[in-house]
Amino acid sequence: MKILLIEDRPERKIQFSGIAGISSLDEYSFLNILTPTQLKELKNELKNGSQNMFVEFDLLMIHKSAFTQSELDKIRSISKPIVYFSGGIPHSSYTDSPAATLHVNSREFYSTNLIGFLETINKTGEIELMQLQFGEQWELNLLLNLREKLTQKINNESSNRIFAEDFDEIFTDQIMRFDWPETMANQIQKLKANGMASGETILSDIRNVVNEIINKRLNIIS
Amino acid sequence: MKFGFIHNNNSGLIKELATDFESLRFSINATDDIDSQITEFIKNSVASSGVSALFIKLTLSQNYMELLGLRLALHIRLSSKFNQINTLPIILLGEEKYEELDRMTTFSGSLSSPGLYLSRETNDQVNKFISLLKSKDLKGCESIQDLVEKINIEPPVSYLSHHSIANEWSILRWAKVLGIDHNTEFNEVRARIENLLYYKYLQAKYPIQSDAEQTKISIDDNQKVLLIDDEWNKGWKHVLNTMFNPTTQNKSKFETFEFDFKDKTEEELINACKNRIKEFDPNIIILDLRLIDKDFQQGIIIGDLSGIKILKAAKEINEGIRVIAFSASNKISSLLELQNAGVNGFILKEAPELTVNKNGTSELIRTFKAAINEQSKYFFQKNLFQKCEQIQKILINQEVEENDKYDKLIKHLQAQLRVICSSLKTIDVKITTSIDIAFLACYNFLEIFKTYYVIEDIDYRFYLGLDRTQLYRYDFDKYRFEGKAEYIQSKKGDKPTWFHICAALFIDYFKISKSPYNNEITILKKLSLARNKYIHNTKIAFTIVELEWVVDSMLLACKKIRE
Repeated sequence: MKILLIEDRPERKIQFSGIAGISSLDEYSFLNILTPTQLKELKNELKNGSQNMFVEFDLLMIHKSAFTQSELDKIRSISKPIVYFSGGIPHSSYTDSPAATLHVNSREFYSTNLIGFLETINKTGEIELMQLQFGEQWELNLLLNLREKLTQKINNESSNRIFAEDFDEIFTDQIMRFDWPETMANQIQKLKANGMASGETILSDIRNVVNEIINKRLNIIS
Repeated sequence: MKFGFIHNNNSGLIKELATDFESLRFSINATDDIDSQITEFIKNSVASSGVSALFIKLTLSQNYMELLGLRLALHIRLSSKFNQINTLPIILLGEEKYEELDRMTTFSGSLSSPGLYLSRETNDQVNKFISLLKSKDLKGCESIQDLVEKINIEPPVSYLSHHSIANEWSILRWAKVLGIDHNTEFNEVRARIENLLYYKYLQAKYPIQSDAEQTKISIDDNQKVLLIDDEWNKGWKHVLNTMFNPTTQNKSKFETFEFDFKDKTEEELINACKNRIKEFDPNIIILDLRLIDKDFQQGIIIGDLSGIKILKAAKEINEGIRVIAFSASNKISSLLELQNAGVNGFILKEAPELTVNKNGTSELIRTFKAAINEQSKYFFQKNLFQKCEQIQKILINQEVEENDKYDKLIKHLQAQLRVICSSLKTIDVKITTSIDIAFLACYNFLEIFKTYYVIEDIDYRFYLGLDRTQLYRYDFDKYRFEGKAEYIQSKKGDKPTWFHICAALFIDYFKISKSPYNNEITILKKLSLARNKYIHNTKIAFTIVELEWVVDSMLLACKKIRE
């Protein structure tokens, strides 16, 4: 796992990190922070049409002001997961088309969200961009996404069956990594192994459990 | 009757209910400006769709918690541009209950506003709403104002991290009041700001009217105003040009420091500012205090702001230059600290979070106008400091022998000049005694000449200086010269007055005036009479003109000063 952080204004990094109480990012060995000289070299390579310098990285985290629009367009074309941060971004937004792309304000980027995000990589080796966007609430977002997909499937009466390809679409890797209660984990595994025949209620049962967990996370007692 | 259904291919209902629905797909692109994307979508796909109600999926993106459907609904309600659709009934579709949404988003207050409904996304539920709509039992939003009162939309995060947002916000509001917001100069700012949901909310809450006539500024031809602001090219130059030059005939001396502030060091900035100030010689500077990156560091103290350093540099060039701090940052809140730093006036450009009423922008512009008018009253101060500096240079350049009488005179004058400069600095035109203090300090400056130049001889005559020039008594009836005669003491205590000595020095010793009819002598007489009336309580206060006269007289005397 290798992540590239491109920050052209180190003083901003220090400023925001100070607000968030982030002491140092150097301790994360998988995080490569570009120096001003390296940034200059990288811009030269981009100018010459090369994108090789990005190949080894799994994720790019870029302060937008480090690049011109045409440079940003070149970077975007390599279709790698990218996090853009800038003081001028009013609201965070995420899309995975064509590649996972998160836009986030610098203040939100240099926050405890970043530490949580890096710690998750440290522990699991997984990149959870939602964690950068929503911080501690990222798992709630994951559950809401799952409930939405389950609801679509349940409402779609004409295809009220689950095949392997449907399963992967709903129960993404992130969902599968979630720390489910044992009974729920068993149900999901059962669904994965056997699918769901018409008339079975296993999806609704799973949705009920998801509802319970969501309510718990939102401190709602039903 | 057709109903719009806004989705992102994330609902099966659109197929099920195709006959009633017009499908409006909101497809999100990778963007750093989601509000602009939503605004474009409404403009291009929804506004002209002709639908009579809108069903909107609560979520339109891959991250549910973004709740873009709810955000889009609020855009529709608050965009005054789309008045053909902004009151339509809106039904939000999702699995969430009110209670859940209340804990997930700060927008949840809008869910209790008239015309906005929440429904589970099932055929049965949606069909119920369709029936109600068809029977016209489901109302839309009757009053946007009611909605505005129910919700509270927080400023975007970028507002906290980026002072540009607040600045651009102010530019657009000011331009609207001036009636120039559709000029091309504001296109860039308008595109960035006008689409923000927060801006739309405040616009709906505090709509503003053009008030161009009331906001024109007319300043005297000889006044010069300089704007120093890193956001000058975003629109401030155009806004202030419009205020200072309301017609093409009226070309006041307003100029902008057109400098590229990005990535400049503080030293580069201050040097460039100094050069511009010396070149343009303004009497008023409108100064943004946070001009370069370091000014935005957490915990920076007012004294370390680059704007304050420019202020000090300006005051070093001429203490009489008036500086109005012009900032969009509500962090600069302590007026007292700013005054201590030497700021003469402070105007907040406009902070969105401080907008509290509909007339806020107009009031701010009037405050700005009043501040300019107020500071322009101090135009005299800059000239006086210029003259004092000239006097200082003359005195420094005098050739003297240490401890002789001439050396003592020069040192005495220099000390008095320091007192004068100090009193000029504290002048407040609203406090007449502050002008009186400065006047009397200047009057005393000329009085010092009496101590060093006048020699009283045993023949009852008086002489001036080393040359022992005969002292004449110049007699005036009020301001009319009546004749001159050798000054011979007529009785005990008959000694030449301030006027007698100054007039004699000006005419006979320094050779400033060729005759007692000259204007300089008349002015000395007027000054003398004014001072005597003041001392005898028949004059309440000195005027600024009298202060200017006495400083002019000081300069004239010093220009010809000799041993």
